[in-house]
Amino acid sequence: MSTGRLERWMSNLVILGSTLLGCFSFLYPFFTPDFEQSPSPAGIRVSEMPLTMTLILGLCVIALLFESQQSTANARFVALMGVLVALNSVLRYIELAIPGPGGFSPIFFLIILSGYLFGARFGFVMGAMTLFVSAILTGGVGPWLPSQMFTAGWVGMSAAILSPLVCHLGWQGKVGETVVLAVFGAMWGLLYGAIMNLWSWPFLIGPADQYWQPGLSFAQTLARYGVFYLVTSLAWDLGRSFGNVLLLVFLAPVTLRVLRRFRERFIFVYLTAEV
Amino acid sequence: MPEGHTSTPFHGWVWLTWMTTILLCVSLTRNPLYLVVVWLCVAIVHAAGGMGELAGGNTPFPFWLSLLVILVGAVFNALTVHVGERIIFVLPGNLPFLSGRVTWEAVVYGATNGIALSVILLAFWVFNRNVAISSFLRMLPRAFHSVAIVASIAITFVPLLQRELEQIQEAQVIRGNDLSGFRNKLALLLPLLISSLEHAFQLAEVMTARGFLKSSELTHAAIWRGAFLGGFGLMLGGWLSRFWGLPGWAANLLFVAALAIFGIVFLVESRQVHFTVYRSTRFRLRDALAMSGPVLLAVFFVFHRFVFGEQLLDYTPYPVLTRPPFKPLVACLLLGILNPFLVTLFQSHDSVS
Amino acid sequence: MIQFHNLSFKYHSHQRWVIRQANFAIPSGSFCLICGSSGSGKSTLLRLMNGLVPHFSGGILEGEIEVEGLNPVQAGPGKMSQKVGFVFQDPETQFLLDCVEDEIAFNLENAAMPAAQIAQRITDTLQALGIAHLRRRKLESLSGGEKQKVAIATVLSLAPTILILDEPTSQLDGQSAEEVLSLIQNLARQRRLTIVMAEHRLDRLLHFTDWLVYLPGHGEPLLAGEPRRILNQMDTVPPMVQLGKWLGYQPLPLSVSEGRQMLCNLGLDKVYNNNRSAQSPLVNADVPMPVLSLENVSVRFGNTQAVSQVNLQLYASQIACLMGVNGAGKTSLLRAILGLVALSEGCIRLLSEDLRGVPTWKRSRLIGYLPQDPNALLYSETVLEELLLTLRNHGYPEDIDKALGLLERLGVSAHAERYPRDLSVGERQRVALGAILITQPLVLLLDEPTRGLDEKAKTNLAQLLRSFAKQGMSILVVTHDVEFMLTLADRLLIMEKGRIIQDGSPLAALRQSNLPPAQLLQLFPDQEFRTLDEVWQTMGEALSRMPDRSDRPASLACHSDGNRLLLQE
Repeated sequence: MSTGRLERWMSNLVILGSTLLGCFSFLYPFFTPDFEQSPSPAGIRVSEMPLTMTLILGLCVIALLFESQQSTANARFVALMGVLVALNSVLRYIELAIPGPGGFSPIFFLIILSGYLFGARFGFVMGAMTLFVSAILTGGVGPWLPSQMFTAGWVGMSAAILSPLVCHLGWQGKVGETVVLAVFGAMWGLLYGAIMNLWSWPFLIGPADQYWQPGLSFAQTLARYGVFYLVTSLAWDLGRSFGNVLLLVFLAPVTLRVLRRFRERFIFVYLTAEV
Repeated sequence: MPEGHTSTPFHGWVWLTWMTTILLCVSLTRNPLYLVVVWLCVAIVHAAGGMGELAGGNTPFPFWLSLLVILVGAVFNALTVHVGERIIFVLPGNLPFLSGRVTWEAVVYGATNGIALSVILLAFWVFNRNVAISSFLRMLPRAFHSVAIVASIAITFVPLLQRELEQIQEAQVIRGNDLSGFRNKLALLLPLLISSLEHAFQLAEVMTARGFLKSSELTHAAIWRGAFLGGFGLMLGGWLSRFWGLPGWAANLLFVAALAIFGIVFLVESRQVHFTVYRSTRFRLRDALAMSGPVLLAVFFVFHRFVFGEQLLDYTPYPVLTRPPFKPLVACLLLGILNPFLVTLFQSHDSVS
Repeated sequence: MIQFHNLSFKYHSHQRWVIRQANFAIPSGSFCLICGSSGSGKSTLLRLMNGLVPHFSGGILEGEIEVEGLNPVQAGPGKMSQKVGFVFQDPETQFLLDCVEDEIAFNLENAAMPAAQIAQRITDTLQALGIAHLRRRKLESLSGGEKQKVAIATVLSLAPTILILDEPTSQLDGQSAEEVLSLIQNLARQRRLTIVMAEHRLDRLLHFTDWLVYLPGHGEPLLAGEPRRILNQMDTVPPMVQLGKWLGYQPLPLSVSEGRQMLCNLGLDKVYNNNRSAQSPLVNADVPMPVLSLENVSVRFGNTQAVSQVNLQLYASQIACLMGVNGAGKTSLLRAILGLVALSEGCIRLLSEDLRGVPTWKRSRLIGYLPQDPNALLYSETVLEELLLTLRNHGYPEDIDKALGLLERLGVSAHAERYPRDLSVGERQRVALGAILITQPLVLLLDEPTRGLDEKAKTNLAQLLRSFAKQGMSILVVTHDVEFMLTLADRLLIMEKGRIIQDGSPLAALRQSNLPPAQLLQLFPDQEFRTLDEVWQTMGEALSRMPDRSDRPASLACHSDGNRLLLQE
């Protein structure tokens, strides 16, 4: 079916496009010095950047959700998604009520596993919707929401990459699978913090035109960000990383067994035998 | 309907406009005097509490926290940015980031940023407080039908899940789990997951039996995907145009075009979803009145910013601190943020007398 | 009209056909009851009628179905939903939104009905079902029975011509079940709908049933037709119908008044002077010390007094049942014994040791508690693992032989390596019992253990509990099921407004209460019959003393002596 393949391609392209645009808008602090050199009277200025970034990220999240919701376009997956998102929101509530070590958050555990088992689109919706639902439940809707949704969505989306990897290595249901997932969880624990900081960094740092010397290179900005990250958030993010590893090591094998059992009940075919 | 709230809630769109306008203000001006006016207006609306519909038992955002944000902004900036003429003192030594001049300019800049952040926090708090979850979900475009269903299932399921958690805790205790320690607590997570999945399965069956979500409705035509990709291209182009030294209006044009494309795609896709809305709240005169102030303000700001340039709104304390400009007209328009509060005030006054 | 033409169906995961060569029809406008033991395929049969099977479940299908002129397999559940309303078993998992009105509206919104019409439809439906007062209530705050009514309203709002109910009362307590059943009876009387309902409890429904479908299970062909014709061919029927069958009386009695008529016609209504003394003594004379004793126990939740000043002694080898209307404080009392809720007054002693300050998890070694929903206990990978987990929790050695021994006794040892949640309701309950009893508690508390069980599973449970009691265990059962209580209890306690108002032999206590009596008690209002066995025995004795009557049925004449043998047929 060529139309089916075209659709698949277009769909992938849309996802790729919005992901790239999202990446780009996260990375804007690294590009600001360049255009500050030629301030144009009606150009976008530094103080408007956070809003622009939020807007663009919001659009990217919307586009991705719009595209990914097809993966939930049957009642089974809508219900599964709704319930998993609710479960994760409750976990997030527990996280808010009882702070664990550092940035420990139990939400990534299920996001990673659902992306890993149910695919990139499901993983994205799972991540983004978890943050969305828990935000409206706890009254935490804010300009930070699009970036949170986007990043958490990425966690779920990227977890889908592990599936063919583990399959290829033949590690399904073995210790190797847990190790791969744990390493992945640890990585995202750090990365999530690093990406989310990019959102608040410009607010905290203040005047970019003063702080970053005009003509400061990308590498130099990166170095500064690196220092900032080490000083302010590394310890916090290590807590999150450690928490992810702990949850994945202890619970991933059992949870995967349970989820796989249910996946079989959710995905099936039916036949009408010839009489 | 919670008791004690005699006034009817505003339409969800009122608060959405209100919040968007405030975000615009905060981004388009860094004049500390104007920002203080905005902060005061938002703080008054915030202090007025819930106007009608309550989103939940949100405790008010503590004022000391919003003041702390301003303070932290000022101190952080003063200690890390060593630019400006009016020196307060000099931090000696070779400390990275910290050593150097501490100036009034940096203090003012940092405080201004702090005010902006504080305004955003307060404004979102007001939004969360005044817009009920159900009306929030109703504001989602129809194209996001399945996402909205996911959200409402999740929201309905959360209280059930909390009850389920209690039951599981009990079931654990009566089998001799004393629930002490990390491992014993982890034993709660798995049953919760299993019972949730069980629930999901039954819910899915219910939804199927009632004929929700015919999957044919939710496939997107290739042409709309193409339009999406075009929109992304335009956005990226708008962004990159700055690197190529194109004039600012060109970038803005590209952004606007991209937004228009997205809007059209959502509109067209929404039409494909056959769905009626039972509880569409009417948009009444008081909603229009409450919305008029923020709309006027937003139009004024955008007009000034993109047509006349930025002289009216622009201000920076660097390199030498000067008195920020203060136009009474701008201040008057900023007071439009108070509109929802004023409308509620006058209405409740009317109903009393 | 629902028609099955030579229909066979099986699930992918199963070897055998669930439905085999089904060939029957259900006439329009009738009330059709589907019966059969659990696992006989009732749910599958119902789901075939709206396309959930095979569209939702998968599986292999042969033959054809026609429902209101449509083939559900081709039309799919979405399209069928406009013709067929489906109400599920569990009231807790049927709702997508949080408010009654929104839930019904959501259904209609999805059908793209104009907003003005939706409001009218909601009003009409709620009024027709007599639940207009629930319109603005939160679903969370409703009782199970009210939820089930709302679920019925939700599907009826789409104005289907067929209403299917899959054991709608099996998860409800007695009172709520009664409410839902009378609502269904009202709907059936109006005759506008074809109602198809699966249910274990036939006695309450038979008198207004027009059509009966019986699934014998084990791949045997199903039977469908007039209720009396089918009842004659069924193994397990309600006690009164059984009596009619034994007496060889036709037409079979379906209601209590028909039963009385039968006894009258046969001259069996006033033939015996039953002076059986109270069977079991309240206190076993050999064991004077109570195992568990409650002294002046009170429980408060805020301003409500859930349990007030209860004094109660439970003895070894005794089965006590606790009954009472909803909110009488029964469950609170059980939870207080376990320490799941705090006492506001009084004390609880286990073998004279005060339990104050002993945490629940420690109490659970000696006091077993089976909660209403045994599913909450089951989440291990295998049945055996469930039992071992309890041992681990308590820090006992993992004694596999002991666990297997207990499973053997519970009759589920064949499933030791299976996933607990794949088992039937009755088997799951036994596994949960195993997980509790592996520590060999002295006292066993059960909360509504008959919920969702079919007759056979109930009988098995009663036997099992009897055997545990014989070994010295003291058992307290909270139940709404009068028949079950009568077959089981040595002693009946009745609670009202937090107090125990009756405590005595089951029949005596039941007579003095205002609880709904069992069908046999209604049939023989001044006799002391607890079970059908007793009726039969007494009747046999009475008949043997009676002069031969010409109108006595032949079957009765030949069975009137060796009646004990006859019961085991």
